[in-house]
Amino acid sequence: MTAWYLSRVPPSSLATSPRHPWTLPALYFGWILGCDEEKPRPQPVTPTESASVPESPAPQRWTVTVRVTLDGVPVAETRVKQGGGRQEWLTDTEGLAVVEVDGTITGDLYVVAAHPEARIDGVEAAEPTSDVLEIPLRRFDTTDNLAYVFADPGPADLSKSNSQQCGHCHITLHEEWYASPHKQSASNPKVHDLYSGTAAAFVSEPDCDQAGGSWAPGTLPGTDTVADRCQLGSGVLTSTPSFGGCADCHAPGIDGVLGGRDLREATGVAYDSGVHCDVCHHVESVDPEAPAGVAGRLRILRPSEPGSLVGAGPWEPLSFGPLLDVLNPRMGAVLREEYHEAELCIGCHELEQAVLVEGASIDLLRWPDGVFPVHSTGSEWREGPMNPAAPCQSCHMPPKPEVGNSADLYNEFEQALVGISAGWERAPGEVRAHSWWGPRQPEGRMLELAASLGIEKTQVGDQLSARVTVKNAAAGHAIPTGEPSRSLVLLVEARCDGVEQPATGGDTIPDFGGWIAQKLRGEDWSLWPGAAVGQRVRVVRRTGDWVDYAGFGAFGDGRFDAAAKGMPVEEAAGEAEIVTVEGDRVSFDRPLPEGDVAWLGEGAGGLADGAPARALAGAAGFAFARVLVGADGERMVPHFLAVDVGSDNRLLPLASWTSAHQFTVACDTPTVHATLLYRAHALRLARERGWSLDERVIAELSR
Amino acid sequence: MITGLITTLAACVDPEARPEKSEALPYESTVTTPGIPAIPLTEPAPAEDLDPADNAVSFRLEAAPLSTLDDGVPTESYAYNGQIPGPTLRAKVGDTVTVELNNGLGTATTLHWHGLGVPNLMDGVTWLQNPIAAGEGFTYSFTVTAPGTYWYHPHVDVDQQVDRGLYGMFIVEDPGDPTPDRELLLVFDTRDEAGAGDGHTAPDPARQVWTINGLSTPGLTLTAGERHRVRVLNAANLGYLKLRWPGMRQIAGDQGLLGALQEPEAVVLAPGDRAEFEWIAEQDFLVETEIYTASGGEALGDTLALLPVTVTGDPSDTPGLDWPFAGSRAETEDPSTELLFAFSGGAASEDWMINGEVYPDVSVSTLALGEVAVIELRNLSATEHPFHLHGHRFRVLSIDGEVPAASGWEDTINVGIRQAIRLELVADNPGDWMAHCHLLAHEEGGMMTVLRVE
Repeated sequence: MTAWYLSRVPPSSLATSPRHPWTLPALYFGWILGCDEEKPRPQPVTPTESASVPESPAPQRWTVTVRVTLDGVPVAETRVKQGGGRQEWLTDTEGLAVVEVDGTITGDLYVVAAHPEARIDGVEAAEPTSDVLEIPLRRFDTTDNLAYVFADPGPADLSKSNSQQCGHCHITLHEEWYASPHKQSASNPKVHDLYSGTAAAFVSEPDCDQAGGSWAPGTLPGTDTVADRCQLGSGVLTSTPSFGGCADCHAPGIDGVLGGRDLREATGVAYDSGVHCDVCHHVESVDPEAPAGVAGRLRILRPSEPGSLVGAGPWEPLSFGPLLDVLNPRMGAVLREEYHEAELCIGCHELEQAVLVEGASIDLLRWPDGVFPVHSTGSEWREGPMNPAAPCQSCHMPPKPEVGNSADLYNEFEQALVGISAGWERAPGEVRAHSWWGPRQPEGRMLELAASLGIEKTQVGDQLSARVTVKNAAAGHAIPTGEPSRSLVLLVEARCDGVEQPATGGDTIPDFGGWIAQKLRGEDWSLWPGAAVGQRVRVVRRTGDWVDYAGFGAFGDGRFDAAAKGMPVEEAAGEAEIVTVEGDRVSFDRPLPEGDVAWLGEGAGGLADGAPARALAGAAGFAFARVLVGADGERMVPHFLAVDVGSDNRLLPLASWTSAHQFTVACDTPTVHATLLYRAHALRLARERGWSLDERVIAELSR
Repeated sequence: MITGLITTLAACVDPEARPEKSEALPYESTVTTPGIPAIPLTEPAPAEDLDPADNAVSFRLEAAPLSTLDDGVPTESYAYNGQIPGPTLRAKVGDTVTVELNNGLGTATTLHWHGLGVPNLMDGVTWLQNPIAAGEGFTYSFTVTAPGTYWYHPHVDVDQQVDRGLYGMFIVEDPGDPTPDRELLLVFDTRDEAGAGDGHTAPDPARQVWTINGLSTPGLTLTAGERHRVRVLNAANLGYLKLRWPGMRQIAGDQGLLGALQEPEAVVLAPGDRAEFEWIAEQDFLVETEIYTASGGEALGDTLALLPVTVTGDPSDTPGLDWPFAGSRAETEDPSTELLFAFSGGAASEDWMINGEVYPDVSVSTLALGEVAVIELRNLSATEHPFHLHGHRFRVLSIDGEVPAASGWEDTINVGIRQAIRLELVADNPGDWMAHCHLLAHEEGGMMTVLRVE
């Protein structure tokens, strides 16, 4: 590389201040503004300068020998590199390594060493020397410090932050985290509704009464305040008070003893920030065999050595992360490869559970280990084709190439932050996004990229047959995954000139597609209490067979036969729209067909992305979910109420499912339209608690 | 040693020795940067056409090791006919092409005709046939049917062999195109200045050394008012170009003219990609690349100066040539087949996958001969990927749902992170065709699958 040839054009102040104000010693004293000593180093130039640079363009490289010691003893097999560089070396048995220094990099010229038992440290290597440069590392205390107080990531308005708050320097990453679900894990009102048996959406006594709740005292989430609120439905505290695992992942930053904490103990930072910087970056190691959370798989190590840095708090900083060359002593950085690996995320995104409902027991014939899977994202990935090549971070934490350093370079604060990061511009891709793209962030398009649709159709006379294939085309885990109340709903329609044509056979959306009321054969299908004009009653016939799908775990590995997989074959018989309502009695626009089950639901016409979710059970289509079953047989219950997994036909990585549908059509060229919807919650639960539940259209196809 | 000079290469070519069919000429150059001697930009010497027939061309290539000095560093390279880039092959639409390759490398090799719709057994891939053993030869023959800027390179041990210098441009001319005053070929490649390993891969874009036609610091002099057809190839293994210069006028992509003239601020050329431009120089300008990476997007706002262009003579007001652009094209209404290739992997291993599979353990996708098909590309991996399909050309129907302006025929398309691109092709060439990422380390890491047309 000829130095003149690289014309760096930073967007703002560096263009007029080609050397960074310098640096590392100042880090020990907080801000480095005002420190303007410059080092005589080859300087990158701007394009306008490139035509007039008279100096030799020869690159500057030299080697230095470093000796790394650990508590005074030379240590072998320790990773060494030039800070901001790419190549690594290992120390030999005498702790020595010969390191090539590239004098043309942007930033301080340091050689750094990382040992798993010590904080990263380094030595300046700004010029060739025959001296052996010493990098003395010291073991950190491995005793978790219960007195440590997790650091506040800082507010959204970073002008109001201070240097003990992560967002003060890691601006871009803070902004991403701030908008992510991780930030909301402890403050999400839906989590607290399910924890406390409440419905925070009903904010007045009349609304609560109308919804069927009771206005009664309870602890307001995130506070110590007890006040009247809407007590409605089941909750962990009301139904399974012995279960104390929620906070282990939802509020991992509750100070003090880790594990088994009451979610209501999450106040302040632990409540506001949920899964935040100082928690994640204190994960010292991962034990895949332990239970989920910070008292199990994720071993948290909080520093216990008294601090010596001005303004860095009472304890010697300690943080774990993926980079070898984080020299800032205010980080107290320790290298951990786990931050590149799926197992770190699986620390929480995997949960097996015993039956928690008092008086209920698990069916040991189905679940001989005494537990059933609730969250199995980790296992789905481990057992799938993306292991190991594409761990979670590959898709959910993509590169952030415009960020030169996790302590931002090239943003509004760059002048100040150059020193914090030793001025090192990391290669594009080393800094990874902290948005954790997922279904709650439509801008990440993860759902849309994961699923695909295909349609085949044939027509004989007025009989139209369609086969619709839904494929998990790209996700490394099942879709949907995570919280078991999530589902994918496939709606299949036939149209003639835009007019809906009746389904006369074929697969239907099962019960977990949502219904308002349900009646079985033999009941009076003209009585639908509470029904409204315009609603639909959909009728399905049960063939007596069971859908034999290949699902996750026992639902796909041969342990369960088709009946045990829990999805009866339900064929469309027909549907009718309610045209009059008199008391509980309704009349329809056409006769209801014979069938085994009738579901009261809502029409699918005009369904669009962002529209409120509708009850679609019985419509032509299909659906995919892990269906948890409660002690009373209720389906799609929250996991703390579950005693069994009734079915789990979610699409594993690269798996597809083809459903078949029949329509009687009134035209020669009908269109088959398939819409694949994502729902974050079971419809019944969302309506019970007053949660907004919108349809997310993740794929559409017409043929 | 003058920086950037590769011994025995294009800079030494005698323009008088060029065959008549090539009208390409070496360009004058000047030292444009005080203190830094620019190397005169010359084009890769053309291959001699050994067939006197008007509708046929015949070339002979010898692949052999070549000792070079890369920025003064002795390097064991490979070359076709002793030059890097290899000789430019030139034909016109309808010509029968015969290329005799003799393998003097000491290791197996093949020739792949990147972008050309050759017969399946002429494609040079080891899925179909054994490579050409050291010391042996093979004669490739095919007919070229579509105009464009193509290239040739091995398809075995491709990461090493291409990086060591085995690549060259293959131009198929359309006699219906207007004649420019001059045609200029720019073959870009990268060199690893970090010196890691064998010195032949350069993953850090900010520190890559680009060469143009084998030269690392070329300069170029043009005459004001002359109209140039500039054919550009990115032959790098991993390095992306985001080219820009004032008044950019793009006329063609991989395979012939676009639907209409495009005047973008900059054009991304991923590895394997080609584009054509019209230059009507009026004043000095600089060809630059923004530092663009497989990690996506512009990195840090940096730019890299590639080619200072000096313009002599008085400014004129020369209009552009009247290129016969084809206009835009609508999406297929109802494709008979849709295929989906999803990219993933690489973050924690060297494995890169298409549809969760690592080549050669892949599922073969099938299309019926003659059918119109849509291929959707989705990228959920941590880097971008230039997708290349062998034996066929395609049009880009949409990028994240947006219809691109005036796209032409392509065979290589860059897929951004979390991007979805829909392509349309006519499956008109029977056989098993490779479909892969043209980041060569990714290709060798398994990001390749097979599309069967039968």
